Amino acid sequence: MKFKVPFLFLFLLNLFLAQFVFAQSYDVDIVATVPGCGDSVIQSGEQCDGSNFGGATCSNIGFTSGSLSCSSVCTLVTSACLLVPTNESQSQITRREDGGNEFGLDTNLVITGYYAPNARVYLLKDGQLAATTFTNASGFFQITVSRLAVGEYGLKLVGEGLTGAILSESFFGKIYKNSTTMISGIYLPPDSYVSVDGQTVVINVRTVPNSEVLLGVGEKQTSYTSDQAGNLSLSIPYTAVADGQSIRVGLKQADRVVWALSHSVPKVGDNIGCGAIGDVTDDCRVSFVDFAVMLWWYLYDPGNQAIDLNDNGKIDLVDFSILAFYWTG
Amino acid sequence: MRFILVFTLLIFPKLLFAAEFFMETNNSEPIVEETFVVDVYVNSLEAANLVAGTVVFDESLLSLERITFGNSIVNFWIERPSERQPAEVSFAGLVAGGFSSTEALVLTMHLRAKTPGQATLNLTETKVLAHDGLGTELKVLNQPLVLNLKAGMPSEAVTVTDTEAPESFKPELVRRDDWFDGQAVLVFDTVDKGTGIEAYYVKEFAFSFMRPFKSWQLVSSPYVLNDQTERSIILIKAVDRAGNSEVVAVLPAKPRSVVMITSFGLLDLLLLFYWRRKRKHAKPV
Repeated sequence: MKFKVPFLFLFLLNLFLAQFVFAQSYDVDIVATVPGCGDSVIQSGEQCDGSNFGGATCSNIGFTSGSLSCSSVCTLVTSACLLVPTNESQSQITRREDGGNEFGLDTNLVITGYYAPNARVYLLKDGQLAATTFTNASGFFQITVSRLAVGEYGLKLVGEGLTGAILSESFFGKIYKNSTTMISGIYLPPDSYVSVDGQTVVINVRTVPNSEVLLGVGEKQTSYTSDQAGNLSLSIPYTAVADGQSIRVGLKQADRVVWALSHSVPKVGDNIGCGAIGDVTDDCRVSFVDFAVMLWWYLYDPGNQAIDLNDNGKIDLVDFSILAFYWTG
Repeated sequence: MRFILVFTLLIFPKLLFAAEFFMETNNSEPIVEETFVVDVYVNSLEAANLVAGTVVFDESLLSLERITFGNSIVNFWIERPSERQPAEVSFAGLVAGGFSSTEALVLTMHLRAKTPGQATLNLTETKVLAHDGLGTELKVLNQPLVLNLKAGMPSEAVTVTDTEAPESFKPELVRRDDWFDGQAVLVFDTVDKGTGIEAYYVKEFAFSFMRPFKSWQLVSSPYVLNDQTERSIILIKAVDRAGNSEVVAVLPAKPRSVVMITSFGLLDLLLLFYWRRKRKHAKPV
């Protein structure tokens, strides 16, 4: 019996010390406590409670289908609500506030559009990552961002490409209180990969299935159609681009073309990495980290050649503008 | 034909410029001691991604109370709007991904009328760079704002309430050989749609229980970590100009758990060894 005392002491000591080791999983998400949340009765301050949605469905709060869920703080979660894929050729911004007022819905932003099938798409909100989703087999995607502060946001969609980020045009969404702002009909430019095989330039394209793709070589444009999986493989003779002409690929939608950034034709054996212009931290993206590094050098040592993007011997505002152009978030 | 062109450009000088800075106020005839608001806007029909400039006014007529930039089109400030010189508000900022807009808010100045008279706010050193991957400088038209400051009884200032916390953000840890001598640096940035970000504070501590004993330290991004072993918990607090705050945590990249568990194990062995020796040498009763 006497021999067991040290073990009991050690056990208690270890138990006491363990709290300092395992208490490190730190969570600062502020979780509101709603009195009565969890009793399946919708009370004041609650939008739902458990499986009780108070009559709210995806369709009567502005979406077309899908299923609502209820969060742990008794607010409606609309991330699984869907909009019917539409074939608008122009992006549209609509705002539904009737449903929002009736059910006390949070301030939401819903963006729908098209890109290559089964590809990752992410949303940049004021230049920073806000949400990520995947396109379905037909290239449709929907991104929902909830609980936004009211205001105007600079938005940009980024599609994950084979060798880097595919950027949409920037657009601005004004978010109103207790309403769902829907931005639909956004088409991301095609993802393309250019390689040289002997005397042939091969261009592999991924885009929206069964869509019209334009290949621009210099001034000349030729039209093609992507297959059911959204793929297209094109070959042109090297002589067509030998005098330094660039290649660009666009997605035609009704009367407009969504062009991707142009490619300069690589030489045989060139290593095509992610190293985008502006990626000063070599992490395959151009984000606020690159901005912070550039800003520091701009303020304290503007002569740093490694970060001087336009090779004019100093870091200046033009370098920041170039960085913003290649921004992937 | 040439006459028509010259005449058209004289009548519509904006046609010569790709971008334009202009200002709007909520009170063009403020009374002395009254505080009023002047918004600075940029208008660029060509896609642009960088705006910079200085607003100059007569300091004998006006004084700057504060600047807010919560709903600004600018995402990242190269030069945060501030009164660099008396009566001169300078700014330079980036719009990641570019913009083209007819009325994009850059910043808001809260001014106070000091004496009666005609005050003119001018924009100088303005720059708008094109979103073309080359940073081409666009031709900019600067529109001044004229105010008639009057004597009289000032009305009560309208206070704008901002109860929303800054946007949540994700700080990133960076370590580069050519930056801060290869030390671990934390980079962060966020926006506040109400009044704009006032300041950032950081708290570093080794264990959760130490949190209340550590005070918030005023910092700016990039922030060089005190604990270069990257084993501390870091809290970053963004505070807006109305005092609302958002706190995010950065968990240690190399948790102390392994070191601590090994230390406890060694401590246990030492204690056991000590007790065994003690028992061995204890005199039998």
